[in-house]
Amino acid sequence: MESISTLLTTTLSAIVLSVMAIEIKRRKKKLRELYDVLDHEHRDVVHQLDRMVEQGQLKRFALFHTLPDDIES
Amino acid sequence: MTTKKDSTPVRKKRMRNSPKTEAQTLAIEPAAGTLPQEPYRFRIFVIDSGWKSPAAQVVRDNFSMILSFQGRDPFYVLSRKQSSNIIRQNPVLAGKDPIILVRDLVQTLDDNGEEFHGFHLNLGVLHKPNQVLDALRQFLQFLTSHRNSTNIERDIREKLHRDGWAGAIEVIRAGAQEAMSG
Repeated sequence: MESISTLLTTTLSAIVLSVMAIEIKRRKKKLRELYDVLDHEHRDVVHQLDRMVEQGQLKRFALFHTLPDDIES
Repeated sequence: MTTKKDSTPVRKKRMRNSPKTEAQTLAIEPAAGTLPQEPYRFRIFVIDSGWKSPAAQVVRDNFSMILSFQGRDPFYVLSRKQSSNIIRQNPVLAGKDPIILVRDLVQTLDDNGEEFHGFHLNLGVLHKPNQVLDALRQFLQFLTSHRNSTNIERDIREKLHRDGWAGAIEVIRAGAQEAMSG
């Protein structure tokens, strides 16, 4: 009887720990999706943005500016 | 930010006498065809293709707050058309906007010889307005407190990605808090 009880406790603990580990992994993955670091995948994006700044297609936003008309809600 | 269609240079506007003109003199424009000489750490871009999502609404409603955290760093807002174009040409960004992309201007080469560093906040992956606001606040606070960091990617992994055991504990704590608040 005791061995069954021990087995049950161990199994339940293992399940709880596994669920916790899975949940931690899921949340960390979500955080990495949310706060992404620039890497080689974003090379083209960075180059395009730099080019837009250099060519004057993007101007520095200052406090007196309003948002572009097509972006305001 | 798009260029104005009338292509009136800012310098000419400075000639006019108005409070707005004085404020406009604070705007910095690089000479045409050159990379600006910017003594700043970050260059910040907002990419928003215009989806009517909770995340986009939060960004638009709190835009002045975002601006107040930028400090001296140059801040660029892409128009809807520019944002859609850049997302279309770079599928890695698809479904993640509104995006606040921060380019770290500190020139360091990594193992692959890449000269650029930075990070971006993909608010489009969140669906609840309170989550979006929390993420935005955390991101802006991180930006402010780590502007002198020597290795910002490492700080992001520790503080925002919650890597390591301390991070795992923080994730559990945050999860428990969420569960209790319902």
